[in-house]
Amino acid sequence: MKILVPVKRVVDGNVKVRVKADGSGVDLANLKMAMNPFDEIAVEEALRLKEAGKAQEIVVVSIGPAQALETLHTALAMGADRAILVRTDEAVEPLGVAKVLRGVALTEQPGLVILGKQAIDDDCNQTGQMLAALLGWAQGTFASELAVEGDKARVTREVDGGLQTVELKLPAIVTTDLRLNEPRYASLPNIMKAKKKPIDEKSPASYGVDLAPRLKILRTEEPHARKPGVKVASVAELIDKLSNEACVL
Amino acid sequence: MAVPPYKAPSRPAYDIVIVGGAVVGSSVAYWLSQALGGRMSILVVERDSSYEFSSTALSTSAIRQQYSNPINVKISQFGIGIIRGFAERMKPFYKDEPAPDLGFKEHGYLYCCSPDGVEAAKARVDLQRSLGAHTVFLEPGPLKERFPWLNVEDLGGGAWGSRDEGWFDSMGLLNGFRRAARASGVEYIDNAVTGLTVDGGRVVAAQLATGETVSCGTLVNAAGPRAQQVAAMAGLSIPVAPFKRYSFVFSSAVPIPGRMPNVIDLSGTFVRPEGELFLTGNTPVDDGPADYDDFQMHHEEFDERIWPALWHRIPAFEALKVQQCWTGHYEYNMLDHNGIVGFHPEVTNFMFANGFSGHGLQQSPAVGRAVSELIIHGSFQTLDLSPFHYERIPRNEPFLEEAVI
Repeated sequence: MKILVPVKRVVDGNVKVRVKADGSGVDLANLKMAMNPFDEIAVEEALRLKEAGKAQEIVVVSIGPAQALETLHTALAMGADRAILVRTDEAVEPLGVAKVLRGVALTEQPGLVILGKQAIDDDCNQTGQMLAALLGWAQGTFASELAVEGDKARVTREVDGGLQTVELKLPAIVTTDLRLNEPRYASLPNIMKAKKKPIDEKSPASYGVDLAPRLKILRTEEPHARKPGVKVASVAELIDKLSNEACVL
Repeated sequence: MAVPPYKAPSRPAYDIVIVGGAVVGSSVAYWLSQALGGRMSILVVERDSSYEFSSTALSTSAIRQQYSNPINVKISQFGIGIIRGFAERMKPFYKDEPAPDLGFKEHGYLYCCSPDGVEAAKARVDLQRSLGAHTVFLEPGPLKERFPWLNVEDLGGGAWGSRDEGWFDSMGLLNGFRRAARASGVEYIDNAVTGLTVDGGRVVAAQLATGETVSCGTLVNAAGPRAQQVAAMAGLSIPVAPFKRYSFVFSSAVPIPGRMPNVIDLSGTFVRPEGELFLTGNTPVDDGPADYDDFQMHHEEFDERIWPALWHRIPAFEALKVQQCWTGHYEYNMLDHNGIVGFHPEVTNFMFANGFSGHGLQQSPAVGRAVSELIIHGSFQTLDLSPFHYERIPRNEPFLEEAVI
């Protein structure tokens, strides 16, 4: 079986981002970028399936600018076999990405597509579901456990109030939740080797997809600043503030 | 950059005006206030009162005994005493709360030494030991035995400080000095000095960003990386400029067992533990004078230079992930990377406390005391810091320190 893992280059989760002065988006100039953490989990899960003898090949794909090569190098250094860059300098949206991934999936014919449940930059949480619909394949989203047996995948999903287990017929789409695994680190020698590996470069047009945005961003705002705390002199004052100001009593 | 809320000074004239209220300026203010007991008026002008860009806050916060100059070793010995006894010293200023413990981690420094450098390294160790430091020189065999995770193949040995070296809480030191100084009558204002008036060989007044002018009896330049800006306001010049240093905190897939020291590699890369993580930095490839407001990060420095060096020296650092990074400024003395301490010979009430080239934090206790002695007594009373005198600058006579990182 072949596993396809899409990976996205996003701003590093440890970086505190700032909204651009004109509110048109987030200022990414000179920020540290990294692989979307949920996608790292997806790569790790694919590697574990391969190590367990359940898969033979892992193909990673990224849709983005030339710098997304770094993200693919990281995935290769972690242990993926092959990488595809679908190059575009435009902003991409979940539907466009899902359409490109549909094209990649039809060419590559994987048994499983494992995606991060969402990217930490736009938090859309849509691509996996859209891809399942476009392909007409089964889907198991928010996976905290994944087991492959024959032509079936058993996915334990994190849902409100507990866990739900679904069985999917392959080929299928799985999206990863945080607790599925703890991804390994790419080592320096493997990163250096990965940089020398050839990467297949495609364009959205080679899959017949027009990535022109369908959505319009009206405004981007910083979260409201947290109000500073106050000191109270007595229990009576505390109760008064909790009842009348915080309105929690 | 966030502009601090500017505050006007409370008086028109001060006996002493200190430009810069980070750790050097605050140490000067602390020692002056303790010696004078409120008999003189002292103003500290700090342009960045949240210390967001201050070299003190952005420092990697370590102290070592391993220097090549006796005076630097003695300065560190005094510094270590202050760090150890800080909570006790600060008690009077923290009445109803615990005084700051600086969390000193006494793991030592390990200076890696190339086969060619063994002789010089041993001579430095002998010098340090003759002054009471606990540095030992370890041949490759014993070095490997003590630090099994270290690659010693290309080393002639290593100089390890078994005591009195390590890292501590830089902001704790600054906050303590500052709080004690304020409690003893020193006035701090959020403001910037924008000009100085020199008359008859003396600084007579300082202009503030808010438009006020304060007269001063003595002016202390403790402006860190901006030292030359302040010197130029009095028509003076020192070869001090901001040099960027990139610091990276990373996690390692493989932990390092035992008490890992601050390892100084042959490449100039240092690395030390920081809780379960590690802190590293180096002399970057683009080293040179930077703009005062340039804090731009170069992530490539880690990927392309630091990580390969770390992996070579400590093979367990094969798989790493950067968790945090920041850019700080050294106040770099381009003549000899040593401090400049003392009055100017012609503008006779202009005091330098500048150019510490990355040692400012660890040297601040001794420098603050020395500056207060010069101001109050006209000469050094305890440690003689005269090798740092300003006069070497115009004479172009470097007072070199070999052990620089």
